[in-house]
Amino acid sequence: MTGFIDSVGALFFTRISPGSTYVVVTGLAILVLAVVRLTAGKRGWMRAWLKGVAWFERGTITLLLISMVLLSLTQIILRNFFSTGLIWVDPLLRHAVLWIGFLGAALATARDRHINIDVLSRLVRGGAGRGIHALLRLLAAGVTLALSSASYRLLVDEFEFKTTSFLSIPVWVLMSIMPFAMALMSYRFVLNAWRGPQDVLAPAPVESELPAPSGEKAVS
Amino acid sequence: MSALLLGVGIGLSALFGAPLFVILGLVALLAFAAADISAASVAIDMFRIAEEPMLIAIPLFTFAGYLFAESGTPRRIVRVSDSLLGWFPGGLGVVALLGCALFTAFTGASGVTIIAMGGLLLPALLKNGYPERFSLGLLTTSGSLGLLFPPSLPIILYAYIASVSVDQMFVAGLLPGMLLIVLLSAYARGVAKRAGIRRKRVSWREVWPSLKDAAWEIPLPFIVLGGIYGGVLKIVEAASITACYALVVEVFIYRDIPFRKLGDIVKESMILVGGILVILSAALGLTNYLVDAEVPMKILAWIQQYVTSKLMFLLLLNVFLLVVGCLMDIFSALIVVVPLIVPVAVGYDVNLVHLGIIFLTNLEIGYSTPPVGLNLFISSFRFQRPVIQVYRASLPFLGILVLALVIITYFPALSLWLVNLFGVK
Repeated sequence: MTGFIDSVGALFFTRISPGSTYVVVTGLAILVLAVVRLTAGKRGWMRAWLKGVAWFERGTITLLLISMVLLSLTQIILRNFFSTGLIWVDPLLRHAVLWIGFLGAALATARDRHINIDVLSRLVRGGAGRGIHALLRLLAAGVTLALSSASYRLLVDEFEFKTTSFLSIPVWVLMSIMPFAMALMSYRFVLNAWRGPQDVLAPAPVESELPAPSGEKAVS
Repeated sequence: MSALLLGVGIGLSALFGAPLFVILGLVALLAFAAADISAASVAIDMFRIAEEPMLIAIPLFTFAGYLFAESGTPRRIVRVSDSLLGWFPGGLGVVALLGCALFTAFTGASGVTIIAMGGLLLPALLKNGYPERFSLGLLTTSGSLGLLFPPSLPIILYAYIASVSVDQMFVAGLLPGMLLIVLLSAYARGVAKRAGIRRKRVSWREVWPSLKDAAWEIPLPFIVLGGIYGGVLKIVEAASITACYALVVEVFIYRDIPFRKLGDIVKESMILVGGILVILSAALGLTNYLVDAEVPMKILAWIQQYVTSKLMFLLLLNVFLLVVGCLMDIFSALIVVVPLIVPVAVGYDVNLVHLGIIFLTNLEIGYSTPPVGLNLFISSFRFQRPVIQVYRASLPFLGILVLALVIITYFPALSLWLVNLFGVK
């Protein structure tokens, strides 16, 4: 098993050295994918693919979260009733937080729903507003690519030093979500730059759709 | 000169709505490059998300909160509290305050409360004869009420960032949180009296069915709060039990949430969690750098030239945090500002637990402060009212909250008395 994981890692790490090679390769891949996505957006196979990706993303994050709930509960039961515990559960939970965080951030990027300090954009409307929006998304694409590259460098270091964590899982495997999710966000920021600002808060239901007050509220 | 231009450019990008984690990541990358440190160090700091056990509580509590918000819980909370407290003068107003506070404490994120509870409470308040302006203001400001009560996420996050004990923070928030509710309830009572709303009698025929209806949800606060205050449960364990309990009760017992909707709820809640964690992750690198460069110490030295007394410092801190609170959401405000302020506050001999309560109260108020407090917009969207109307409606409530803030700030005992009394570690 370890041998297999190592050879998968080597597949990337020996061919794509960290730094400028990684940035160029990943950047090009992002651009090509974004162009394909935007030109073939309406085609049947593209729709099926996007649906599959959405399903996979949602499935992965759900699986991670539900396992977190169940494992942490198991740990509580073991600790309180059997005065024991599984040593690998706590580090596993901590790393699940990292994975959930980065996958969640990639999902937030897909919806262009990242937390921001949006004070001035309300003042600029029309073409200028769209221009600023696109420019900032491109900036975000660049920064996330740089962060992806920084974490790829760390990954390669960990691969070379063969560091391992709980259950002797290689540390680079645990870290691999960072360059991957950052690159995914970079790709999605490019798409968002193209799409323009989206209405972040969904339109609120009109008054008649508010749940009706229940009868017992009346003054007796 | 070019550094100044760069700074202005980054600042403008932030104010025009670039994602905050991008701004923090960019500054961290630039700072490390300027100091000639490998970019991999930024990644090492980002990876520290996986090294803090307390953070496990964040996805678990958030997931539980979304489950409650999507289920019939808000309706059942309103029903029970109305049947039990409706007889109280200003009854429904107080019900709204307590219900929202409880809901916020258990869901952490503020916007959820207005969306989940507000839709039920606004028509009910109006039907009872409360003025529209009062009802709108009440629900807008109640959206963040309850942040001071356990197990609210902002308290946990502050404790982690400022390295103080969560248990102390949980005890310290009790009296200040109650002060806010008592003051607002008194106001609600006054309004109800003026509007000539008659008091309701307790109807035992309603109390019992409403209790039975919420029979599965009522034990949860007792289990979690009892567990935390009794010292039986650690915060992560409380989060785990809450998430598991919510899952079983809402999906399998009440069946409010069909199984196939679960994936969507997980996704929605983890978008929020991802948004918070990625900011925290990017900020860890930057904070490390700032502390190494002794930036907080420089800020302290600079402020000490002008501000000599602790009281003056706290006053300025309040004004500063109100501005921060209305510009940033609470999570990013905590992550970005706390590491800078903590060393300065220590320089003025401010207790860090007390500082945390001041911080959270300020940010809670900032949520509803015009012109850009988040609650105002959520409320305007949810209730389909112009933002200007929401501004006006929330003004009297803001006045009361600021009064409470002054009391909380200048009477540290309010926050610390219980902590010392029980000798919480």
